[in-house]
Amino acid sequence: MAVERAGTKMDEKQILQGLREFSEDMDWISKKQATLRKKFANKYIAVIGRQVIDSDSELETLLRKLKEKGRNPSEIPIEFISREPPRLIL
Amino acid sequence: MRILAKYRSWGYRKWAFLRAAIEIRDLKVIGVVDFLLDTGAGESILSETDAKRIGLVYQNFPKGRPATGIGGTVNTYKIGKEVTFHFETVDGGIYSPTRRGIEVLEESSKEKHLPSLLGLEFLEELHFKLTYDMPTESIFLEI
Repeated sequence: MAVERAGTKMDEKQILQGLREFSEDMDWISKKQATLRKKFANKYIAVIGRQVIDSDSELETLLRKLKEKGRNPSEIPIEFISREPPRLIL
Repeated sequence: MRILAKYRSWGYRKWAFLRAAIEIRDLKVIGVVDFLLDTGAGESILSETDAKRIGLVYQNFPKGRPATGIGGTVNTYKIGKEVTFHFETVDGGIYSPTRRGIEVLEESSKEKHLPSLLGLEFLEELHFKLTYDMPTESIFLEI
């Protein structure tokens, strides 16, 4: 299987790799919530390789900064870190 | 074929999340999304943050019915395109079902808190069996 994106093609191997890297970083965010809350309260953070590579209080600004650095935000976990843990009722 | 969910912290407690690379071929959009598995949701929803992150310009699409939840009523946009969900299976392969359309939920506040949701209709349409084994915190879909 090949997937076209903006003139490039992704195969299953690339998709799997993208999923796994995203998963590792998302798990890291989940585990480090308390620490991240102290440092990045009320900001969006972008994480690659278990490190916060950038943050901003505005989502659009963060996305622009990532693109300027040559990063593709669609492959990177971005989370809003609220000062208090949000309560979700589903 | 089995797909494992991740039982992880979000806010005050843990929830089951399913990771998928979603692809909207007509729009040349592909990106990874962590969907909260919400059997109480009638529909699957992309959060505003995830939509913007994967480059989906949802504002060009027609508005859907406003979505009402405990937090109030919010706008939705109907992306009437074929959407493929690429999931990693337990054996290291890929399962890639395609379905028609997904909605984007636009939050009214500046801070976008809500996660993307995979709703009950997704499980129904694709005939998934969902297992919550809480003693081992093992949650998975089977088909």
